[in-house]
Amino acid sequence: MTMNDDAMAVEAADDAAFDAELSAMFQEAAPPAEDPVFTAHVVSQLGRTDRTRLLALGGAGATGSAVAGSQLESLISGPLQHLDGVLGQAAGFMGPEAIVTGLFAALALGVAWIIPKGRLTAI
Amino acid sequence: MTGDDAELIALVLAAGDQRAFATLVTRHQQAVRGLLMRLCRNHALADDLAQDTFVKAFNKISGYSGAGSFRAWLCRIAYNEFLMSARKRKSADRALERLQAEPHETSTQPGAPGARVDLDRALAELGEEERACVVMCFAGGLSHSEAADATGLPLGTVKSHVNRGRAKLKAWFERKEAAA
Repeated sequence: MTMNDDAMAVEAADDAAFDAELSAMFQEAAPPAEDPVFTAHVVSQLGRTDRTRLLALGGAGATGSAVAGSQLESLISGPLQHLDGVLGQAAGFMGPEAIVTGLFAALALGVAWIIPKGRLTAI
Repeated sequence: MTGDDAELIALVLAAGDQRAFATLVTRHQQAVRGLLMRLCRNHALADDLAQDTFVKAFNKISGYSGAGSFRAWLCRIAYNEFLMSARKRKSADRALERLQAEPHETSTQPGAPGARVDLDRALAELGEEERACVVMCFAGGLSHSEAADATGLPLGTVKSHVNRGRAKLKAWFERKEAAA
């Protein structure tokens, strides 16, 4: 073993000792391993985003429906007369069940698009 | 609730199980909070960011691929939260500086024990990325490759940041000891 090897060995031991000392300092300065208050606080915040989202979407949907419902008659009473024939033809061509099925499919697609993936089961 | 991380994550993914997630929070909170406390040097802010980290992890858990450890994934979210918060604080400080002539004082925890204050002062000597790498490896208990994943830095850069940071800390503590 040369003097250079000795010096390197001493330096490595010195580094290892400092690493241990540094780890101990970080450990000493670390927060407690388990803090039930912190955990409870996090858990209380978990559902909040979803609830807010549901309330916002539900509220917006209900308001929109109310506005649309109040305007519907005056808005489409004129054109509806012209559409009667077309819708009648469509109903004759597709059948009312097919039209309702299509509407429900569109509704389901809309819900699936709005609600984020992986949250359906949670709701 | 018991089980390894993978089982608990599967429960959270399958049914949004909050009890399973609470177990994950209990298991990893020390690493995440410790990391953020050493990075922020402000305990209240660090705890706020740690809470945001866990809430974000719950909402985005489908994005965890299972390739690395869950702790490393959490530390990556925590580091991103820290960077975003630091950016906001910098712009807020700049706005404040325009209004006030005197410099803004950064807060440290009042009445903190001496060893902790020493460690935070020593860490303040390091560059931002050096500090992040050293803290992730020593406070978060991450390996160099996990720290590389968490910070988005190349593995070689993380290793050199840790070595250089450790050398700077050693020099700081030696200077302090010599002065005492």
